[in-house]
Amino acid sequence: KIMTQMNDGHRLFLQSFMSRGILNAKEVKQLFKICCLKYKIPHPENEREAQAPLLEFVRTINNHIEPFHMQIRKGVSEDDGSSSYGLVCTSESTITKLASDYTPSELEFFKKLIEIIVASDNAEVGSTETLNLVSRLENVKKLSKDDAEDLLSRLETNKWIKMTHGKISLATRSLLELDQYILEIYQDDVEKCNICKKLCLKGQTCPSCGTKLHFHCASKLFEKEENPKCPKQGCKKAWPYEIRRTPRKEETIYSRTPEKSQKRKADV
Amino acid sequence: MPRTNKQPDNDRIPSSQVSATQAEKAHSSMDRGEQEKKLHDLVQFLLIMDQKKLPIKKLDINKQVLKEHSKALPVMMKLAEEKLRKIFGIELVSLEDKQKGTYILVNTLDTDVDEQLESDPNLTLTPVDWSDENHAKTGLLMVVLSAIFMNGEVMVDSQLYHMLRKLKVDQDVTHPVFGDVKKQLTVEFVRQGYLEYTRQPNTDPPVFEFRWGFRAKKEITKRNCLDFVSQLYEKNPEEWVSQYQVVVEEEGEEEESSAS
Repeated sequence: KIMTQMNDGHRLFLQSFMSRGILNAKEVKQLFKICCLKYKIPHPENEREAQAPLLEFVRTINNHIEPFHMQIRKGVSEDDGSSSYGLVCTSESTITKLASDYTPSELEFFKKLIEIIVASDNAEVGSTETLNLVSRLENVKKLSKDDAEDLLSRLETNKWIKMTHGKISLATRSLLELDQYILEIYQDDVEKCNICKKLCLKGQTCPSCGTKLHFHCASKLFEKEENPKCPKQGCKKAWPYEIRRTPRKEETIYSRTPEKSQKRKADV
Repeated sequence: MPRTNKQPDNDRIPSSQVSATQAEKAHSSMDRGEQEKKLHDLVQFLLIMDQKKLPIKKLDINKQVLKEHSKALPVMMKLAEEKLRKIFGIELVSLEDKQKGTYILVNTLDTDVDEQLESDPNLTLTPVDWSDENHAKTGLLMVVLSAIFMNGEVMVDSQLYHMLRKLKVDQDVTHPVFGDVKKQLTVEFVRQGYLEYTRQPNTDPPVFEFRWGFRAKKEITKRNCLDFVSQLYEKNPEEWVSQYQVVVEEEGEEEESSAS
């Protein structure tokens, strides 16, 4: 199998991901353009035409970094359905990527945070409850509440968590990096989205059969439906929630229906 | 280690002294799958360890990655070096002198994209993201390294602190950005390999000297420093005759080593 060799353009792109961890769709397109400009790689002017070369570019990088348990993968925000691309660690060992940036106590705290988020109603928790987690740390050096606040601030800066209106939830980067971990550790307590089959922490749940959908997956599914119904065979009850009809402002690399995008697991 | 007719039991030879052919033998005794797995583990290990900015010890490499295949280290490091360069644009550097037996990773990729960002107002992303704190520390480091270089590659601590005080960075005052300035210079930057901090013998009260550390020597060229200072003073680099001489010598050495 002949692999396209990497050039400095690929390397800069990769280093950017190693530095930032995650980039949204707009940023990725900019990064691609910048790398092409700097290293004189032909780049189409038209954004639409740049999509295929970008995919190919990322595929080349992914081929080379795959043996090191690294991949650039697409993640979708559970809040607004926007796409991001993150560099993830694909080996089973849990939170190793974070391991070098955070102390054992901090990692323990983060794990506990995940625990309470999973247990919460809408995959979000309040700051008081979060800061109180310091008392639940076992077998590691203690953290003060000030330490915890500082940690939360760093976690937010590095895009692992979101803090809005006093509520803390997991950001896309965490979902990308830790979905396997969460599905494994919290098997019985978490659901997968019926449509995209990925971990679903925030979403809408059918009150009748418990089927869960991401807000954005529900949006796409019920786009043209006057009377949305639960997609589960054997249920099909009326879907009682307001459907978020978000206009497709940004071009996503996939402009296909969710069902089709499921099959393309190997792609970015 | 002198060769004797009777070669002592191979297991007792510390792996750092294994000859090239012994390493090759150890490497080829591994099956292909294992070779690849160890290589990939090694590259990952080097990347993760480097984040701490401390030199990576051969001892740790053997203990945590190579284990029973420690003898293959020289071969594995060569292969890892190639992977790091070809895939990540990162150079694996083997340190000498006091740090012999350790490695650091140095970025050989030029990540400066100012030109590209200036060319198009729609482009606003800097590929490699630095925190404000990092930027500030780098600024401080650059000033310190330049001062040391311009002073003849060594500077006594009192001199350096005096200079910094003029820039409103006082080692006795907690700085809003750098915090404990003395600690930043004598502990942090030293630990990371940017500065060397040694005591002058027979001085009481003790006098210390600052020099460039191994990482500074690898990451920053003397020419960078001279250009930096020249811009600051709006002079030509050549006007600093002895420093310019050092720059030219350094570049001559580089040409020689890349030609060989």
